[in-house]
Amino acid sequence: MDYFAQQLINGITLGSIYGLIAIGYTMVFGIIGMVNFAHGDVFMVSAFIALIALLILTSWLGIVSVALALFIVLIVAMLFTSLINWVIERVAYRPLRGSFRLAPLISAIGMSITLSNFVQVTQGPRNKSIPPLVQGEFILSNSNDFPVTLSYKQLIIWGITAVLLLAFWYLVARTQLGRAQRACEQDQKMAALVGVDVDRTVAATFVIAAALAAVAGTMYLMYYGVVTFSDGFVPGVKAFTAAVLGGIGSLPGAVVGGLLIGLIETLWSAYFSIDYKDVAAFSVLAITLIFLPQGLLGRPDVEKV
Amino acid sequence: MGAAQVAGASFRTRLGEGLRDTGLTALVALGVFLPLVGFETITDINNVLILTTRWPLLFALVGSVAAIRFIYALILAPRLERGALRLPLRASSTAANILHNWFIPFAVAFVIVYPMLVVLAVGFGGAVRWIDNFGIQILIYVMLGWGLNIVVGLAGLLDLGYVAFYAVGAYSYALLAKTFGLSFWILLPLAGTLASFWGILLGFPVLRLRGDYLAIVTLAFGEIIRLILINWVPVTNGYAGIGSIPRPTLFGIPFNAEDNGFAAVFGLEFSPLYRVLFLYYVILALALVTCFFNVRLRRLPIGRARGRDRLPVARHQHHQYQADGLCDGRNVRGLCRLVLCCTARLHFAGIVHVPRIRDDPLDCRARRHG
Repeated sequence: MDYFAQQLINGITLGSIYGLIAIGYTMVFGIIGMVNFAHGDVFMVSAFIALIALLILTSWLGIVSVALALFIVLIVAMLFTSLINWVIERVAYRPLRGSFRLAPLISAIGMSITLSNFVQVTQGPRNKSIPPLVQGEFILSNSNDFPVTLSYKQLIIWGITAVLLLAFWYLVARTQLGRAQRACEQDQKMAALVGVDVDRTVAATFVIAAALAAVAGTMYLMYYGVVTFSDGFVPGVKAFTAAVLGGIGSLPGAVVGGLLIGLIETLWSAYFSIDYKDVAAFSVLAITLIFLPQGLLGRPDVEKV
Repeated sequence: MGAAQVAGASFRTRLGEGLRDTGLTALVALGVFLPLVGFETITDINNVLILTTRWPLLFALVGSVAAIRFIYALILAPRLERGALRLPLRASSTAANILHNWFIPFAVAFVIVYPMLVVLAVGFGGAVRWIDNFGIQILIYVMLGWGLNIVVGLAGLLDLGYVAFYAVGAYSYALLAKTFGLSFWILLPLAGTLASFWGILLGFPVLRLRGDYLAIVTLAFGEIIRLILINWVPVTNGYAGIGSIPRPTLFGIPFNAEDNGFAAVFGLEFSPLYRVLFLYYVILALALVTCFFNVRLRRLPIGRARGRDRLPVARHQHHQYQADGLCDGRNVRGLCRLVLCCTARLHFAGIVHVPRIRDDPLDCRARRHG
């Protein structure tokens, strides 16, 4: 039971990271109906930006306060990743809007390969590891010689995810931009007719998606302390699985799906085989798409003829 | 004079706008490249990550981006607007006609005599590399491309996991040849049969999905196959791959320096070139058969009744074809057959790939777009 509780804590932590990436997928899919394959690699790039920002802060500027450093790193990573994703949208996706359906998808696959190779060339193919930033943990129970712990960094991840989700929910539900986004999601042409700047709204969507991915990337770096150029693909596909599982296009669905995928992966690793944990996640993706294509919280897709 | 003034004014505005654009582009490029190009993370002797800077590289990169933008704004953009760079749609001359009529026979003849030309040009020793790298490898890619052509082009299905079949083909050859001692010529048709099973197994559940969903699911299946190949160490030997796979023979005559080898039997001096030549012509024959098959397939009803959502137009066509009885309710059966053809092709390509490098083809992800 203690073992299970510990895996539950680990799974929720992992699931929070997946959930944040999944929101990016689901938002972009909702608004322009495209699977942004490069999103996983944007996440990886953001982790690298966070790594570099962290090294600048700690080794060059000599900031010792971990909280302050983490805060600045978060902001810097969000800014630069947003800029990069904005450029990607401008260069690789916008010219293809209105082209045949799969064109942006193929372009996104190309972008994904470009990003990971770009990082490989500029930063080298090796693992980049940093000493643990945040140490210490709460011991929740210590029966049967198996301590159930909740480490501070897990707590930080939970906290930041919760705060961000609230902010994000406010953005989508209560602001002008959120309303424009929902309008574009329903009908782009009609939205344009009533004066919504579609291009700008789509660009803003990519910027927000990148900002959330950057938070996930920073927390990934803080949690695991290691990042490499190929780290984008697998978390990306898993986050996409989360988005699909929750119902693509649905924002709460992405979070629920993220948590579920995190739990499935952790429990699978804990009770079955750690080698095949990715197989488990991908199987969930395939099974969901085949048997429940609208996901848990999604609307069934009406095919327009 | 008036016209010259207008031209001058427009040049001046263009220059101004171009400079503004260039400045903005340079700024954005600086932002994009600053973290990852400006700084490099290096692990030093104490195994600690340290940062170094690469300002010259960063500024060179940003500078070239800005220069390209400036040239575009000043020179290319106005011409594009005037349509000066538009290519003539049809170059209808006798020369073009002759080229059109004779291109295909010439190309086929060229690939057939290519090895001989290479041998003539660089001699026996140097020819292996040229035939191997530029002949066989290219033909393998051509086969992969044709497989993709059927699935994506003809059926309209973006199948991202299709290189997995290539890996499966390569592994089935390696494992069956090594464990059971089956020869290349038995395995070639056998792989086609295996491919049909794989195609049906994966095809039936997956092909009910639409466009991008299908892309993702096939990607997932591809990844699953790759992960299994890596992790199932007792069978596949994981990352290390499978070595010393039996090489293909010419109806039982091996290509080696032994007394019963190809060179000895035909009274020739031994050279590794013969094996490469043999493989080259095998894959060339397979490629020509494939090509013929592809061309014929397009003329069959199954080839003409395209996929469901390739294009909106094709979708309407689909309904029409459905009305004509050319495809069943969701066209799953027809698409399945197409996928089956493609997977068989990939198996062949994978099989030919293996004896060439005698190594495991786990690099197949790089070949996603074969």
